[in-house]
Amino acid sequence: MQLVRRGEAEAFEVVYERHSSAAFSLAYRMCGSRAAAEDVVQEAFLSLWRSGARYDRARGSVRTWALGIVHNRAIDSLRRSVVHDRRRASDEGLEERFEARERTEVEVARLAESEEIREALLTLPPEQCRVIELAYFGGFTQTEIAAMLPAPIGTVKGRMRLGLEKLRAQLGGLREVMP
Amino acid sequence: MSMDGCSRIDDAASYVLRAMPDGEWEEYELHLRGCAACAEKVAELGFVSDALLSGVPQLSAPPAIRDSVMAVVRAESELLQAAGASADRPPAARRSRRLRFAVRPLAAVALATVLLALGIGSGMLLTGDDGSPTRTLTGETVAGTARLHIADGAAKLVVAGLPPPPRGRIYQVWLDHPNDQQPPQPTDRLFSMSKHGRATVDVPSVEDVSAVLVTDEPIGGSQVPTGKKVITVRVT
Repeated sequence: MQLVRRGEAEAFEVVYERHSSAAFSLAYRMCGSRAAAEDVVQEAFLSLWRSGARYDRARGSVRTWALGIVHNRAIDSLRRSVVHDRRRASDEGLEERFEARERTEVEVARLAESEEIREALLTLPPEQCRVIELAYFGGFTQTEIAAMLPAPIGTVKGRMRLGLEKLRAQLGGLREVMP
Repeated sequence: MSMDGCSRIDDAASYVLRAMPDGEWEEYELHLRGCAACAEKVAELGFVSDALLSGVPQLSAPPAIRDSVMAVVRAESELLQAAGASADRPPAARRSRRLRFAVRPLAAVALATVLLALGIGSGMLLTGDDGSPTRTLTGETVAGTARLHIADGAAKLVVAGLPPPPRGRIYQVWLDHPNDQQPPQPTDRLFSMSKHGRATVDVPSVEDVSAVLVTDEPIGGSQVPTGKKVITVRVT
């Protein structure tokens, strides 16, 4: 990242190669369309390039920082959407719709990690899983979620907190291995 | 008051999931500065939200995104390098606040120059690492933007916001030569626009070329232009 801070394009290209697939996966998961996901990823990486100097290693890995920017951009994009069409593609078979390629060992490890996280989500009580999904991947605010369910806003907040605490207990081991 | 020491402890989850409306999010951020219980809960749950980012089915990013991102990054990098090391170097700690602000505009000027070169249409001559000239030229288009990045005699045309060609037709790249009464020289570079309204096309050598043109042509291309000219990039 020091080289990226100095404005070296080759160094940034390495960062892009390492994290672009995870970024696109997240953006596609949230936006539900390839075109919107492409927009989000492009905006996010240009933002990342231009704000490289603000990366603070003490606050997490480059991957977490990059995905955080993608997440924020995707939420901004979803909340800008006039139609508010949040229909998302089914996860099933998504991989087959995109060009398959060989996976490196790191990617295989991340795939396993990704599956572990999804499995952990499925162990949550459905009402807790739903509010987390709607907020984090759907980009909905707590007020919108309360109106959709419907449920009091305090209940929505409580479910989010309980759900995250359970996930934390289950995923504690990942803290040691996450890049 | 909750058992965790603050009545707003449940807001920690909404905060890390970014489920608060924007104004409330910022207001809670201020609250965190003075509330140890909430700050501790945010730190605790933040790990989970970071992990969730990785918990989506993994897909390959389309190569077109890489091309368009890296085209901009390379152009900006060249300008930043040309502006000198001081343009993006953090100011030394002992410098006065006034001096810090004096240094920052160098980077701002470089970036503004990038935006000018990329957005409004003036060309810019730079020198690559090996001393070869590199340029980014902005063309005239019927809609959107068209930029021609030239390095070592090779050129790449990056188009955004241009509508797709009419049904049954395709865009074709042509090379025009100075002082030449002949029609533009055809190339085999045919393209359409992505759903996203973008296209990146490698253009053959632009040595001795006065302009790169794009017209819409029948599928398969033409030997002489038959369609409407949609892009003109003058190579000066």
